[in-house]
Amino acid sequence: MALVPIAIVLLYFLKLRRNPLEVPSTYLWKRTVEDMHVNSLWQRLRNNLLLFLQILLILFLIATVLRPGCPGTELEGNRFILVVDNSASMAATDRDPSRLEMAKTKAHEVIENMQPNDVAMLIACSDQASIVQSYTSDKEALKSRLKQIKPTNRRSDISQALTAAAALANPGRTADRESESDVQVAEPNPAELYIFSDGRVQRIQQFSLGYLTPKYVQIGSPQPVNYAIIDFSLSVERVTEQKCNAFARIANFSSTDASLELLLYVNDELVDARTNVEIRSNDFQSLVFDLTDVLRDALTATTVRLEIETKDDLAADNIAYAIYRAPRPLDVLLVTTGNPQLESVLETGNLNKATNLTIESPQHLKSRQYEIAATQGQFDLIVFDRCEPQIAPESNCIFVGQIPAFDGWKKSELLAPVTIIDSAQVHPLMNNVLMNSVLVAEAYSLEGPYGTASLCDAAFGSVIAIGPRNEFEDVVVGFSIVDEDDTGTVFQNTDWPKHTAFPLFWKNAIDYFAKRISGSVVTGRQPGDQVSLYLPQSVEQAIVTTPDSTEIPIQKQKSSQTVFSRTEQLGVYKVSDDDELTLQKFAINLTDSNESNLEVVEKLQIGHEEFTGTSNEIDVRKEYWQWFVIGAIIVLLIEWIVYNRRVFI
Amino acid sequence: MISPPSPNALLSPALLARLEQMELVSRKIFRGQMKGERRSRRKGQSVEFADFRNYVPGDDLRFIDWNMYARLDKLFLKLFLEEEDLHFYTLIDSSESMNFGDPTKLHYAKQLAAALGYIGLCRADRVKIETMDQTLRQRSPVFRGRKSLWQMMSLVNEIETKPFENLESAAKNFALRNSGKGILVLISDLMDKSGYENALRYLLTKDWDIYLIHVLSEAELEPDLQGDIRLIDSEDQDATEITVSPRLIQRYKDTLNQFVSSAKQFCTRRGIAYTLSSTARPVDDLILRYLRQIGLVK
Repeated sequence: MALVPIAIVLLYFLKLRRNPLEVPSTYLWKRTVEDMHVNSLWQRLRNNLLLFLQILLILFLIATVLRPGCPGTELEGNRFILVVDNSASMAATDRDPSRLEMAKTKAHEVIENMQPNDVAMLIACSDQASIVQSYTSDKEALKSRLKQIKPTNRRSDISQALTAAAALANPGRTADRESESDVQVAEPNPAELYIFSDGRVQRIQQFSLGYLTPKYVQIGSPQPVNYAIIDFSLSVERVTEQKCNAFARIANFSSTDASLELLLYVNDELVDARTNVEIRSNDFQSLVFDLTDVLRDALTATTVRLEIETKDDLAADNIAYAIYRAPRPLDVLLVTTGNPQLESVLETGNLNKATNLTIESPQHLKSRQYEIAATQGQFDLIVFDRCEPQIAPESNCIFVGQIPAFDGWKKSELLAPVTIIDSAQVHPLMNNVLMNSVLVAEAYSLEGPYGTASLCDAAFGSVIAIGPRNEFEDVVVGFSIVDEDDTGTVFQNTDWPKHTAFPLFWKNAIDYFAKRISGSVVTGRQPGDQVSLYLPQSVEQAIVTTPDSTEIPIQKQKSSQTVFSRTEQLGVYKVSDDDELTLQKFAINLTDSNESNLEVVEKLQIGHEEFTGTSNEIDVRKEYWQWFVIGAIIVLLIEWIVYNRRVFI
Repeated sequence: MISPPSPNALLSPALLARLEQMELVSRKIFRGQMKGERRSRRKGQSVEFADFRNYVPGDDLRFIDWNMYARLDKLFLKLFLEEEDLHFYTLIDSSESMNFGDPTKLHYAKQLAAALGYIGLCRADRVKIETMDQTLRQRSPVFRGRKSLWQMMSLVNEIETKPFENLESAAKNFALRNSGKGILVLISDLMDKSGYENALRYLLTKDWDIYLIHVLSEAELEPDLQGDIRLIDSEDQDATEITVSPRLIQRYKDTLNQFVSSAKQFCTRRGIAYTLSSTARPVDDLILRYLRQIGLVK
């Protein structure tokens, strides 16, 4: 391009070689010819305005084609934000080879149609947003990063991606919500937001698009076929008959009825199968597998696996795992000045088999022995009868007749009379525990920390409640069973021990805390969830082996509990110590109905706006102005060639 | 011995023979200084009766018309037309531009001047041939009678192109040098960038019977040029670059025609006889036909 103006100048000045010829007079020729006084280069330049104008026009045209520019803080041209959904549902094969690959193909088209001035950003989005490529006009870089987007097993939540996109597009939005002075950190940069997804995302509420112009590109077939295990858990009744059942809930997310075949494995050995499980279209079916005999003699952590053998469009939700851990007695500490009824219920019957009970007096709470036990979490459950510790122990606690001095629990006065009006039967602790006929003389009204659930209500408020404390839970019974008056006389504050609700409550409590600790119940651990690992006191570091056999070392973070978050893979994770002794196993399953339901969402709702998706070719504007500019340059060159053949008029 | 220049170098014997039969004609009758063969308005002694006048004591008695005395009993004197000579001037443009053509315009002009001068000498006219490069004090000899033929031819032969200021100054000098009335034949290509109009005006102040013979070469009338040319003016070395094309040639011809037309119109309005001639036209053809048509010769 740079040679074009040079060529014009050369054509103009060098092309004509004139032979000199003496004539009688140039008088008449001068009157005919208008091109005069061509004795020097500068005179030509001075007198030929046309040359200057045409050179100037050529330079402008060339500059236009070459896209002159310089680094700046403001972007010009169109901006695109490409959000590619790589959640679990995008691994469905109803689009060949998969929905994610189809989404990447569509995104590739958008990149391909970018104009030279356009810039684009690439975001991969599941329940986390990852900026794969920041704003760039480099098409090859965008395409390269697009290829690197891999499918995940995570759920879909594009709110993070929208927040990241809106941060640049909309003015006046602070990056630091806590700062009052940090406002309007960026100038508005309107952008077109392409969302390549099947729409199986969490509804985004209270979100303002501002300068974002979303375009929802539907990915997926009209009638996908998918069967999924949306719930799989083991239930172990340790206190009663040590029964163990596997509960499964199977869904048919397709438009036709299905007859499925399911297989149940224990440690990769087939133990049960169900054939011709009939499930109607868009319906569910619950199944129970009795594993009591199979797992009776299991001493170590056992993997239970359920598989749907029938093929469908998404294989990830056709397998679910659960870990069976052989029950061990619960280490329970009872701190009391003397409560025969409570001691009796914990020491007798099946509860005795399920617990290792230690009884101490409140003075024990001041001992060094207790301090060590409390801080190291040596007990699984501590029952404080009319007493409380000075420091919160690293254990679950049950307070009887005492409001703990822990954060969030509010002190109150003893109130009377106590008329119990309701109990939370749905909570495992209150299962079959009927408190309506229980008489209580006086009790505290309970108000616990955020997340506290009332288990039993009296007329004036909650009298039994369960509240969270870090990784533990505390149950507070707001009335004592027995008490002492000022003279030291022991009196009965409630006739609760006389009701069947009393032993049932304690049985439920032992069961509840035993399950909680052993991790033998698998419910709702999804890919990406954080898992609390219970490491023994003697273990400072452990190794987590993922389902693909990758070993990840971890350090004990706090007391006996450590959080592990690298749970993207589906399957069984094993936690072992340095001596390769298995400490714990846990399972990650894709049991999310929203991800398993592969039906493509027609409209995406963002805030108060709805956007209809398009599955056709993405509308882009192709511009051909460059070819017209090149044509203009060619015409100009031809004009110069033709013009120079003529006499300058 | 140096032999005198032969008139045959400029004029052919056949042309000379024909020129002897011709004479220069003036549209105006001028008084010459000597008695020639021209009829003068002045009344003198000749055989041709012109008029009567009353006798005055002292007149020659031989010219008394006795017939008129017998009839009218009064004395009358006969008056006769006196024969006088013609002043014939030839002013030749000797600029460098006249040195082009085949034959050159200057040679053509010399032939023409010699031919017309020969006619004048044969009729005992006063012939004076000058060039435009002559300064105010440079005077050419006057030739009279056949005996001056060789001198005239010699003078004409020696005429060469010499630079001079312009037509206007040359004409001015000529007009100041020559006071006698007569015929002036101006032979020029009029290729003066400062124009010819003022030059002709200077010449008109002398009340001469002016004939302008506009001589152009064939190359000037029908230029045969091609390609890209840098034209150099022979007089001032001025350059003009052209790229020859049919359109350009046509435009040149249009310019030439316009130039010739304007010159003719200028002359016609002022009583100057204008003739355009190409050097390709033979001199005898010019004299015997075109100059006869415009009345310069008969």
